[in-house]
Amino acid sequence: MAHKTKILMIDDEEDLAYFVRLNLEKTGKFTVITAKRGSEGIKLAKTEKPDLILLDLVMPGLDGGQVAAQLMDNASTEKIPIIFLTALVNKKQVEDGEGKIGGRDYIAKPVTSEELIIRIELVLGKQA
Amino acid sequence: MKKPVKKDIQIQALQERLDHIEGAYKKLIDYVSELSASREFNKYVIDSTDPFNILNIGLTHIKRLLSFEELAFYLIEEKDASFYAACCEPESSSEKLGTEVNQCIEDGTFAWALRQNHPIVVPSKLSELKLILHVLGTQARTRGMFVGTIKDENLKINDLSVTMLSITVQDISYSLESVMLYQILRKNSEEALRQSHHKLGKAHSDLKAAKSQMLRQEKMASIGQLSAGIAHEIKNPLGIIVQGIDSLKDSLTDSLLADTSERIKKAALRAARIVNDLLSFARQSPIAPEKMDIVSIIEETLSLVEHQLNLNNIVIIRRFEEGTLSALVDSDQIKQVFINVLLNAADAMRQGGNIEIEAGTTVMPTGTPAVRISFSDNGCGIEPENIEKIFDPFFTTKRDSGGTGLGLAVSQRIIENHRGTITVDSRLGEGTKVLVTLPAPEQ
Repeated sequence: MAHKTKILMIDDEEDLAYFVRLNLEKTGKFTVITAKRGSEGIKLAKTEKPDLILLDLVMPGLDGGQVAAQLMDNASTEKIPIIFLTALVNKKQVEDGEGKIGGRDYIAKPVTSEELIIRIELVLGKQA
Repeated sequence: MKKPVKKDIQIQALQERLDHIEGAYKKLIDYVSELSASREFNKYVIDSTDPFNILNIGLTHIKRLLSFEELAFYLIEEKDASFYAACCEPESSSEKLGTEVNQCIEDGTFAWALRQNHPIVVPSKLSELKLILHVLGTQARTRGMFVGTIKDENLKINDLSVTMLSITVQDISYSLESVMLYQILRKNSEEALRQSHHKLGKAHSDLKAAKSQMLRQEKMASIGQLSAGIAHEIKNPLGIIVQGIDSLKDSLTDSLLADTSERIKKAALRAARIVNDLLSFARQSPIAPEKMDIVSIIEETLSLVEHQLNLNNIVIIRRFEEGTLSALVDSDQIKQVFINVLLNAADAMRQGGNIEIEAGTTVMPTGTPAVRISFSDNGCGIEPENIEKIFDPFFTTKRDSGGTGLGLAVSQRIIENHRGTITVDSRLGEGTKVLVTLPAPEQ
């Protein structure tokens, strides 16, 4: 059995995370684990070592920017690529809102599963 | 023969002296009465502001001084330096007197009289009468001529009345001059008043426009705040709908259900687009104006929408002023405006047509240099009742085909951020012209 890409999705929208997991997993290429809080996501990143993290920007508690900063501060998680999933509208706003995430990839919500998969594969392709 | 005694001689001398004194006294009485009449006349003319009124009163007064057969004032027409009768008594004589005057003008008498500051008496060439001419004017300016005809026997050249005539014509001259100056002054101040009235009117309409712009900007700002706040909350549920439909899709074997789910997804994506437009509309992103060639921006925009324009069979006609047309713009944002305008034009010409793009230099109402760009189509035009609303956010006549009603609202906001203007002129069934002006760099 081929290696499946492990995705960690950190989003307080449980239903969104649920559908994203269904849609990614049914392709057979991905396994998806989810966390609805930033702090929980950081723990999972350290223990599960995902290949990629989908990270919501606006969350209660630690927001996406703070989560990303902590992940980059940690040797075991700093290399994991992050794609921000955001309901904010564009890159400029993302950068204005959170200086710490400058330069990172992002996807504007709502996103179709086709687009999501293309973007994930693109980022992983860059990594390879 | 009785030799006159010394006493008789003395009486005779006394009698002569008495006669002389009596004559002088009579003259003095005449003089005083003329003077008092002259004062009355002066009172009239001083109060008058109408030059013709002054001349008419003047003629009446002069008639009392000497027994004129006919008398008139001639004024100089400023345009061609000709003479015309301003008033004449009796009126029926104006033609006859006119002939006398023309004669005097021809033989140079008039020109000569104009240079004298006393009355001139010459024999008439048309009758037995004498002509009396007296220049009408002051040292500063000659306005015309008094002309009168008189029987020889009624004229004694050393008569006090002739002196009085001269004084009176001079009085009339000064009154006339002050009235004319007054009229010029009044005309000038009326003009000044008219101009300041005009300026006031313009200031009023500018103020009204500024006020309505301020209200619109306040409206935009509140929409901006509101939309930024709710956009985030809307886009998350939309994300769930889109992902939810995607998760359903593969398990739907019923084609009706599959079609339904596809329609739901499309609607959710459309809602997301509206929110995006709204957010970009609300975004207070500062512009980064640079000196750019506006024609290049137009060409780049055209290449972006070329496909859509080709689909609609639209021909682009370019009319660009020669040379570089530089404007101070954020080119990305201006491209967005031009795209909106061009796609609107394409929408108005579903059966094909022309879009004429003109670009050239102009000046802002403030006098600063600017570039104007106009897009004229020969499409369906805009209904008059809609033209007021076309810049209102969410106003659209194309909701069925996916319009969000934000294109022109965003465009207007962008142009206003550039301190430019955007206006739309449209005739239903004939076409629409969108005119954009943008500030140009100072030379």
